[in-house]
Amino acid sequence: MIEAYAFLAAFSMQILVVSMLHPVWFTKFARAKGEAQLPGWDRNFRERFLNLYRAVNIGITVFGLVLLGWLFNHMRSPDWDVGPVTLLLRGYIVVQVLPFVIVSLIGAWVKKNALKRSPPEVKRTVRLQRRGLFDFVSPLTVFLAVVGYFLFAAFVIYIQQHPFPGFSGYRLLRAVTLIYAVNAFGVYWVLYRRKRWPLETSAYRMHAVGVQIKIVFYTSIAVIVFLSLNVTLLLLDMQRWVPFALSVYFVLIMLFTSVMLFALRRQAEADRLGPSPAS
Amino acid sequence: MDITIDIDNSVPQFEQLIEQIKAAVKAGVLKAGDALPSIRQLANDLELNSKTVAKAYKLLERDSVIETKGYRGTYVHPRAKANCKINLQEWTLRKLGETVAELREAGVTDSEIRNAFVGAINRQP
Repeated sequence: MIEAYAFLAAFSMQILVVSMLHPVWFTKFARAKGEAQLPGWDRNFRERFLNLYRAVNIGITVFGLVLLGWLFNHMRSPDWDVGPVTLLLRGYIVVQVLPFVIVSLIGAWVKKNALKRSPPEVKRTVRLQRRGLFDFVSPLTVFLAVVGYFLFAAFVIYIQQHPFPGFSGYRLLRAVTLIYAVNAFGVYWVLYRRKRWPLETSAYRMHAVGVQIKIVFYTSIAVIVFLSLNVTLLLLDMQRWVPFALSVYFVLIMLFTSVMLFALRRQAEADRLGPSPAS
Repeated sequence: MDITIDIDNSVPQFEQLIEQIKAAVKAGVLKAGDALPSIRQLANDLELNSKTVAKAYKLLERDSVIETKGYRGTYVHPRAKANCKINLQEWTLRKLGETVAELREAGVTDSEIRNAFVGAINRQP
């Protein structure tokens, strides 16, 4: 029964962090970034939009609490089924992430429209400094991500020799390879993409590049750790711990994103108050 | 070190780049062996065509202000500071001025000088 209580605790934490705290942190970040980089934009529109975002999240919180109640009832029985619980958890994760994805897409669309209307930047200032991957992320992190991939591949190939029911085998390895390929392309694009936003200071841009690259590397490592853990749980016939692992993994990812949002918010606020010596 | 390109300036963008890099070397802001950004990075950051940045780098390399070390990238030349003092454009103008003065003294007309200059430029080395 301990796995059921551990999961219920993790799920409560998930509701608190993802649907209650994260929207508040994201709203503060969006406000600071808007003030610094979209000074002419309609504030009332932004506030209405952010209020709607928070209202949707309150709805999702209530839904989560109802779900928590149902799960509590369902998991009190000693023969609770892990299948529907995992399915419900996955569905709820999608519901929790969806508003964040939608609001990020709308933010990008607003920025694109504002960019279309703004005149081209006449004077363009940049720092004459070579950018490299190791300026933003430590060699140890890169090493861990690369070694992690090869260890995971070896792990999957080894288990494939002695497969067990429910093991995805090479499909899992293909999915991870695809994630790594997309991430590698993403890192290259983030490092060398064009500067499109005139009001984005060099300091903010470098900060954002660093944050995005760190997110890519840390999530790559986290994916490997999570999948290895998941396969190990199945291998040890501990399927009932899978919902707990999934919930903890999701909370950790969202907390990590929040830390990054804090860092970007601080830089946006510094830009609004005045150009930093590095900008 | 910051670099600024003014797209409204009548000075070509590649020349603005060259001037500012040379000025930074002369002022000691850029020292021998310092790494410079890649052509692609600088072009993307300044929203310029990569050919413009490549042209600036090529001319700086010709003047031995910077050097390219294969895949390792572009660096400030070890004797960049001394090489920055040589202004090839000024030197060419002075040399041509002296030649034109000599030719005029010999009685050659401006029109003949112009035709001869075009002929000399077009002649294959």
